Amino acid sequence: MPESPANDDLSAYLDGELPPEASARVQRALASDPVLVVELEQLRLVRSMLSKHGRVDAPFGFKARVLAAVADEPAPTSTWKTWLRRPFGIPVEGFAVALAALLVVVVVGNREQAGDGAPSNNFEAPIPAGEQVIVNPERDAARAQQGLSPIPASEIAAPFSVNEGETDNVTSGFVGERLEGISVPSSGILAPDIGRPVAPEPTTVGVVEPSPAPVAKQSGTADDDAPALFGASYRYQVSTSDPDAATQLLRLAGRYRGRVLDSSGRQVTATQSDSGSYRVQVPAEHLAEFGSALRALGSVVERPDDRIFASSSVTIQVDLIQSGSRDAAELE
Amino acid sequence: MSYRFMEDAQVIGLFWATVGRATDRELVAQFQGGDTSAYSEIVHRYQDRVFTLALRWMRDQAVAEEVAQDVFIALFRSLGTFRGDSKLSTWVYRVVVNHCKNRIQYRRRRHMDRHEPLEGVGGDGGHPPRQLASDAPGADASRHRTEAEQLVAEGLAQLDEEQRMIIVLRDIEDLSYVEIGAIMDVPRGTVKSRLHRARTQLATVLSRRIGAEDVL
Repeated sequence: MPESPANDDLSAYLDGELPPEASARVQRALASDPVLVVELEQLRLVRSMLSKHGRVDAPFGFKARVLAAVADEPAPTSTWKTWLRRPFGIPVEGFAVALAALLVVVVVGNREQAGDGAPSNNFEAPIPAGEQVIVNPERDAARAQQGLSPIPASEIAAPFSVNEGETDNVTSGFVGERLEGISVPSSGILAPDIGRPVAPEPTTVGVVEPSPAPVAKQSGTADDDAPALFGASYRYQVSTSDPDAATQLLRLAGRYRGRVLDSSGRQVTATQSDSGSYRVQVPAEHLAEFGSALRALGSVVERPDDRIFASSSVTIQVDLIQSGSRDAAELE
Repeated sequence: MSYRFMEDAQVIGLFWATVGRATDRELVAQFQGGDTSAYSEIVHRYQDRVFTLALRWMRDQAVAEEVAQDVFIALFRSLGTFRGDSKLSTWVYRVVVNHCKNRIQYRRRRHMDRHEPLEGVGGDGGHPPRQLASDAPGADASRHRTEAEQLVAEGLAQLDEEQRMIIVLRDIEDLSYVEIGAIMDVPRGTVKSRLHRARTQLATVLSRRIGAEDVL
């Protein structure tokens, strides 16, 4: 009769954590003891059940709240210990990045000069590191002729407010596309933000013009007292049988001090069609509540995005899809 | 000129897109270099794992969320000094365990730990099963749990904290005994014996709750 394995050897055998000789001992015992086989099977099923059903998703908006919580933290820096760990104390990564940045500057500079002969003066007035800029070809061309740089996002984003009836001067694309802005790393090279597109339809960088006269923040607007957020944008697909879903969406947005924009970037203030894509801007602090409330409209598929931007409000795309439609079937 | 400028930006964008799926080590290096987007990716990668661990330990959705958020804030502050001697995941789990332990001690000192076993201690004493705190009114009602998920939660709640953590780290997070030992600060042999006890106890609880023929 084979030697009985230790009790806890059975779990370790299941996990492949036993040395070969102990594993062979368990196998011999299993071959001669049906009770042990049942016990092993029970352990296997417990493990399988935990593996399949044990994971819990983080609550809605968790990531955005974390990013908002650290937004005011000082920027991370390597400590002297980190530098000492490098060979001979040489910051190899720093040199590599600087060299790469230099190469890109040279290449971009050469292409600019070879392309139209005009001097490249985009970088004469450096934009602060990490600042977003919004690309508008016509505007940028006009500014470049005057020797000016692209407009930083902070100067453009300011005019947004949620005053009833106010219309932003949006020349093309969604307002949310301002998040497609281009950021400027410390090298002074313009590089697009990393991140997946919010929606499949935009194919170009969004263009949002500032209002002619920036409107000062007023009490009760979406940006009031909202924590600074570099975080996320979201997309929902809502499958609904409610013919007044768009109206309900308006009410929900209003309840959470947000506003609804249609596909051309205009603020929606009246009852719209029953389905379609809308952009909803809500203050970051109301993101979680709005997301939960949205589920009252119908079946919701959440698609969080990883976009990084600086804003105190969060832009959410809501696709209202009528139940029974072809889109709803695809959603299922 | 602006169009050419955009073209250049798109080329650089493509470059960044190709390196978008960075390893943990690369993300840490980027973060240490001042790139906060790397931190966002780290949060994205670990939020479910951290929250699962915190929820299984604390057994209260609101408290677990607080702990998980504290963990990520602590990571933000200390990632700059992360030397990479261990895997980032191991380090993150260790931070979670420490935060959970501290929070439990704090709550006990303040007599705030009002959770009771989900079933009677004797198990079959005829007490109706109680709900997890995370399912109490006020919790996220939108979270639909399947019956199996509910059973898992109830079964795990029957284990003591250490057993619960070990079985979560092994069977949900799929860590090795050595990694679990490093995270829990216990020898590998202790992990092995506690894990077996936890699984056996869980099998008993689940069998009792739903009948061996249904699940086991």
